[in-house]
Amino acid sequence: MRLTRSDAERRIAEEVHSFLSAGAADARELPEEFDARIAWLREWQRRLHEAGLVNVAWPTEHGGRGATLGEQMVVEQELARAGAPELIGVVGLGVVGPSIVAHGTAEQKRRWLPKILSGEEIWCQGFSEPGAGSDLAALRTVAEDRGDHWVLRGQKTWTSWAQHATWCAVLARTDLEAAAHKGISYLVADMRAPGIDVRPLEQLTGEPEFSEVYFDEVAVPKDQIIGAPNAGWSIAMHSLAHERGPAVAARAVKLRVLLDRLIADARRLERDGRPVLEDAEVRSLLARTHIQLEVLRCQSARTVGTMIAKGRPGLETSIDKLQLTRAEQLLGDTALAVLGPAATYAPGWQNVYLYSRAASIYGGTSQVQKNIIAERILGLPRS
Amino acid sequence: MDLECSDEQAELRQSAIGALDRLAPLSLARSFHAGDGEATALWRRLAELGWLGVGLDSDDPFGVPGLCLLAEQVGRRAAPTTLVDTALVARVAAACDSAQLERIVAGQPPLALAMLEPRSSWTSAPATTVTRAAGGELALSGEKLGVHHAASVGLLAVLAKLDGAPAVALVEPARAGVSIVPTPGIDPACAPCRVALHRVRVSESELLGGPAFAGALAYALDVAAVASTAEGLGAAAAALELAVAYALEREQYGRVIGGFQAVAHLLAEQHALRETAWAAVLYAAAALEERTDDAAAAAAVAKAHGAAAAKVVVEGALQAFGGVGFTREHDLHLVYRRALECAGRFGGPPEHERRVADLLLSREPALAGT
Ligand SMILES: Cc1cc2nc3c(=O)[nH]c(=O)nc-3n(C[C@H](O)[C@H](O)[C@H](O)COP(=O)(O)OP(=O)(O)OC[C@H]3O[C@@H](n4cnc5c(N)ncnc54)[C@H](O)[C@@H]3O)c2cc1C
Repeated sequence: MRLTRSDAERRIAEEVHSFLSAGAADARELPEEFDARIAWLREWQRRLHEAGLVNVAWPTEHGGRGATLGEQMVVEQELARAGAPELIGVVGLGVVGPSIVAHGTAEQKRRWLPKILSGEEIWCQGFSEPGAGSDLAALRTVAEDRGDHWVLRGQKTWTSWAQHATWCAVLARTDLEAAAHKGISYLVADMRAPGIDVRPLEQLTGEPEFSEVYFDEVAVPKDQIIGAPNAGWSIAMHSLAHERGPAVAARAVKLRVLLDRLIADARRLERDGRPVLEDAEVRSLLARTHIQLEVLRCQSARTVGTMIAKGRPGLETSIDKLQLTRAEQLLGDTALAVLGPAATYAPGWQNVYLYSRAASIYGGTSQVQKNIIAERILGLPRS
Repeated sequence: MDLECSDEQAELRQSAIGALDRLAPLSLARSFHAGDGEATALWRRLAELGWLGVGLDSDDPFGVPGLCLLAEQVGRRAAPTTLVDTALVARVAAACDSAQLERIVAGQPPLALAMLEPRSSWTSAPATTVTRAAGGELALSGEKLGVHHAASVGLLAVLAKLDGAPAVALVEPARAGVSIVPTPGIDPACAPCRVALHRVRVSESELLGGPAFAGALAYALDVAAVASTAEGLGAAAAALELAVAYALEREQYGRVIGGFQAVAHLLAEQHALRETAWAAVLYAAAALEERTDDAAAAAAVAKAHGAAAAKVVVEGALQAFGGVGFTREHDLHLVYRRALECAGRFGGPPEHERRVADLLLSREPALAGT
């Protein structure tokens, strides 16, 4: 066990500090308007990558530093603590990219990884469909083999960042005869290709973060497949484990920053002439939220440790995802309860609350995580 | 940050499993419920193995996490020991440079912790007092509650007030003025007793006190709070394993009950809760070992979450068993009761949540470590 940072971790933290103090992006300048904000965030990721600080654990030959996952976590912690904005390329960096690193060909890595890091190319994840959410293996998007290319037909939905993406990781059926899990391939569609129609959807928060994506006879060259044909299911599970494991650890840091900000806001607030922070119920809510975030941090650290030891994230990432949900939704509840009208009638905390409700849905719902724990960890029968 | 156990710690855990499987099967806990419990062989062996002093020396490879690994195995078997209580007293004795330390960690004799009082909490100043008579003689008077195994140990470590400051007096149960009455307890395998002390003579050398005492006691209480959480989570893990095995075997409506999603999700939630709580225990134990700035807060977090989690886990296990879980015939209640006893020992979730609030809100910078 080791709680203090290693020398390498300390060095990289210092590097982040000197990068930030050299006049890096100020999250307070983040534009309100959605498209302007995306452009601003791309520029931020480009500069961060120029300084060599994006996904430092990726291999050196593809633009990373071959650092440890621990060092990568330190960079994310330091950036979040300094109030730096999120990276717009999250799907490429944290969900699809790791599967390209693990399962892609040398040529695919050369082609895609550097631009994922620089933010030049944004990726989206075309897994869910109108008829296939939790039951992902029921997906009906088809990729027909035409010799030197596939032709994609079907519809994806809830596809985050699709309208800004250059590439989409599409799960498509390539063997219609095979059993549900066995006939799926992990293809990469060019979002600029003819036949793709992206229709943004307004989320609960009011922002068009996800979209419907229609594929109408879209040609996909044969070299745009990750792994072997019909072997896409296990690669999709690899992507999802990254979404539930290391990506959760990164999110945990952001929640910590939000709780600190909530406490700072509450410190300035009075109700009925009394400081809000003197109210016993308010103190209890804040303490409980802190406790759940600390538990999340410890659970994530353990999962990341297991991942470093085994080289890949395992089933325990479902526990991380459940704990993230518990902590994030409690933080949302606490913000509204503690700040009261100051949160309900202002955009910031209201959105934190509303966005927290997605945590029990994306990356597999809480019920699906419990199914995984029950069936795959505890060995209970399939329900 | 790395929460993986070292090779030495993993070996310690393995030896604890081996030794306790032999010396403390669940039938030992059960014998205490029947009123004819006898655990001196177990206590002797724990002392011989050096486990009463685990993590005490700075060059010990196990540290506070090692103590928690042992406590977890104790909890899994609801074993009748005063392992965690002894760890607390030993840490105070070590910090006070007391000559008593040697016999405490040697288990010569085994010790019971007399700390809680009828009208106080774990962190209250004691009402029990050591008074100085004119001739310089010291006398100890007061009343203690929840003293585990007081009726069968050879030494009582009594928290008392001495010259206005807290101290610990070490006295034999047989000394004049000491009376010990076994009481009902939620976990009979802890053999809780009420201890009344009426002008019990104490010598200076039997006192742990001095300038280092208050800080040492606060630290030792944090260590004990985390270790008892580990013990409770051990009990919870055992309860969950029993429940999962039962869910795979018990059939209703023509299928095993583990195939009903309501049951499966209950067990899955319990597993997730126990794992997250265990992660927080490992972190707090390591923070206490390294005495980081956030060690006290980490201990309070681990206790508040871990005690609540252990309770939810054993309650869920009880539900999964149906009627048979509500009997004394089934083993479940042995570990169920241990989890409940540990949940409140050294302060329960409400007390520790209040501590978290005080630590979190009293100062500006974030409390979380790195
Ligand atoms: C903010 C956000 C971003 C997203 N981004 C993406 C993205 O980028 N790419 C992508 O592919 N997807 C994305 N998703 C989609 C997400 O993965 C799905 O919404 C999720 O998997 C659930 O599928 P569904 O919406 O079809 O709900 P359904 O599967 O229809 O579920 C409806 C309800 O039934 C429950 N349920 C279903 N099956 C079971 C079962 N077997 N046992 C018990 N309960 C069950 C569910 O838990 C849920 O409560 C995103 C979702 C959100 C909210």
